[in-house]
Amino acid sequence: MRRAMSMRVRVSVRLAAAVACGVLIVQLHPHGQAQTGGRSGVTQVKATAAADVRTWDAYVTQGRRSGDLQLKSSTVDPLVPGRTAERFQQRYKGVRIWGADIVRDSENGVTMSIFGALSPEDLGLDVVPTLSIDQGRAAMLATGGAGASLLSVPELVIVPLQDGTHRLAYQALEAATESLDRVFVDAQTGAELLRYSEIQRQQAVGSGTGVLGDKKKVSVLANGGAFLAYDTHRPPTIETFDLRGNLARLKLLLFTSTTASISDLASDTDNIWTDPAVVDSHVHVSWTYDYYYKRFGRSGLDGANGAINVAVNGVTQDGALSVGSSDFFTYSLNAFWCPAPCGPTKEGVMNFGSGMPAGYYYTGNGRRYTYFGGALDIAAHELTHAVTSYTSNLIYQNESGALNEAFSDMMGKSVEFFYHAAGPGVGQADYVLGKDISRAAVAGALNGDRSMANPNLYGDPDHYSQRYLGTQDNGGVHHNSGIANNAFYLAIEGGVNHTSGLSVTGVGSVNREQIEKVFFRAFTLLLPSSATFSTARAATIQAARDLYGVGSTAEKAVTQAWTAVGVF
Amino acid sequence: MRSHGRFLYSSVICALVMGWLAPAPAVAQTAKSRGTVYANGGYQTGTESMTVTGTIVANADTGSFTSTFKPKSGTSIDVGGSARVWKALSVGVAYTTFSADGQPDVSAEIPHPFFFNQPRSVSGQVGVSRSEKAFHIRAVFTSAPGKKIQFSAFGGPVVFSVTQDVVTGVSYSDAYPYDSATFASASTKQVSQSKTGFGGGADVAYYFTDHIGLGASATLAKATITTAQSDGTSLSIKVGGAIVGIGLRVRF
Repeated sequence: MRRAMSMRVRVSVRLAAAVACGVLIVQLHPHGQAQTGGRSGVTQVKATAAADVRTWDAYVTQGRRSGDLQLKSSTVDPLVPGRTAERFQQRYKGVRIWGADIVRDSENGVTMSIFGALSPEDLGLDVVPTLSIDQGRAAMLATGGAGASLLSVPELVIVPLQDGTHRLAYQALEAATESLDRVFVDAQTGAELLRYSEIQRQQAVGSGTGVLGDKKKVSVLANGGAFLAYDTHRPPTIETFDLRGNLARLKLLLFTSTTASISDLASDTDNIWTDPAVVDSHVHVSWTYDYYYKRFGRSGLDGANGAINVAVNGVTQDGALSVGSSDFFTYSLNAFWCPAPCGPTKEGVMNFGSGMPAGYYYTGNGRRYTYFGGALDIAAHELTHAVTSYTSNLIYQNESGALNEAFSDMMGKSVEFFYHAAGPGVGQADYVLGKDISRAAVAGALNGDRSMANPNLYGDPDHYSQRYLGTQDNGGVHHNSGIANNAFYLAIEGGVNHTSGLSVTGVGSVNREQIEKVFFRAFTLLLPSSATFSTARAATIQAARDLYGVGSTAEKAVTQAWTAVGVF
Repeated sequence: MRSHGRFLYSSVICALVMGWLAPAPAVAQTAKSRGTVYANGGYQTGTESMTVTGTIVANADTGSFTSTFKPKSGTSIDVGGSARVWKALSVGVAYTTFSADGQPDVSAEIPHPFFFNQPRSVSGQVGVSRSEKAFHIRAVFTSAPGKKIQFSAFGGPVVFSVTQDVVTGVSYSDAYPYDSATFASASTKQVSQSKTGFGGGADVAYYFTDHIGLGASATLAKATITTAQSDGTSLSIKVGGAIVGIGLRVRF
């Protein structure tokens, strides 16, 4: 004991000498400009010179023996071989001093540098609290406002304050609707001493690998030590929620008043995103927003840059093997738009299924499915449903429902052509819906789920005379969409309708923007919610006249296309 | 600017030739003086352009910047002296200074926040300066065809000390949809280095009295300084140039 005290004195003398010589850089703690009772502020340790390192090394050794310094972590440096960084927490009479720690970096046992921020050793504080932990908790919640809750058990600490004093306090993380605060209350009186937000957000860009193995940039938010799939680069926030296979949680967020917490957001620690479902869903929805903005000047789903929410991994690929049939077709082999007040923030949400594990395929059509967000046309398709719901709001049954579906297909392919080179391969733009994530697994099966160029190939009508008149699928909304889809295709590319044999002179793929704008104008501005195919014909022809003039190539192409598919 | 440089280089070469072709009998007369000091106000040509390159790490990606700076010609101060050591041969020293400010073009490729391989091009200018100080050690050969006229030719090592502002980064502004960006400014740092080069030239002086006169000189001195850049490549800074000056001559 005497020896330890002697050592302590020697170290203190060395420190004093070092400080006096200006060898050590000593600053006041940012929160401590004038210590009461003549105490000094928090000491910033920056020892890199050999003499300083020896002095502080002795201090650390002595501090460990006395218990004033407690080893908190020992990390092998991944960048510099042989280096280990030890982090020591400063304590006072066994109580942790908030923000007071010291780091010793050593190479094969030889200390190379020491950095730290230390409070004075003799604080003169009574460390026996007057308040119990429960009383401390109550004091925190009393200042936190309505809806506040503690995310951690209150911890007794010593906290340095801005006036340079140190107080015995309880600290905890407190969450409210829009906040996440670190709160300190006096352990003797219950008065709030300090509160600051723990939400450390900063716009950031990460990189990620998509479903097809392609590298993409991901717009994220740096939050504390992690990165969140929370895009603030664009005018609306675009948030992607990762349900991590918790289907029950997804259903709560979709269909009840439960709202998401920050922990529901997809996150990554190194900003190199590896979950392809998250990467592609987040990025493809963002690209679709950009397409709408650049092509049509539209500001998001509602035209007012309302938040865009995405949900993924409600059921994992492996989980698809064990969920019930209904959930399987809704949450695994499907993507859907659920309008407000659905979703994590009750502003609507696009949910993307995860498909099935490798090696499995759906026996109903002989295709295997992977993450639905991996198909840009599917992402754009779902976002377009939201756009429709905010504009013409085409009723989702019978002909208006088929037009609703068709418009999502049209915009889905338009977005794909906007970003990808034309071609029939995976990752290329063509007129087959969903081919990037829906691939033939058995002989005779087709890639993708629908074709706009040849709907018959997938069993869908390409002519009004073939329309489905039954009640299934809301009156065949995913079936009869083929008629309008083929009209859109013919108006751009030209060609012959397989049923009528009528030929159409399209505007040509280089002018596809004209037909995209014609259909966008008609389907978002002109159509009523109960529109029929015939109304759609009239509205698109009028839109072509409005945009490109009476008798324009676009008007002729649209007129011929509707005629070719039997719609008058 | 280029014609200026050519003129000055031609002047230097002509002066050198004149100096060396001076009549031999004059040697005996110049041998009477023990040495000379002089002070010139002069004009130095800009040296060759200097290209600085670097990387811009942004948006999970890497871009680049390039800046090219060609110092403009400008005034210089040239002072020195020599002492005769043997017949017409003297040993001398001189000190010259030269500084040049400029607004070099800076161009950069800024990574797009949404896409790889779709950088945005920005360009602008930034103010930089160069300061050169040179210490010349010379062997001087002097010839005096008459009592009032004196020619000299000189040459020897030159120690250059250069401080140069070097572009280290580019700041920019952009906004959604981020398909273009606007140059805001460029950051610079001062690089200071020394290097030994070589210089030579000629001087002609007219003396009104035995000791006081006016003279004109032309000097060519150069060196190349190499320093490492932030992107790992090396940066070459060519310093010195052709200097012409006129000023006071004092012989003793």
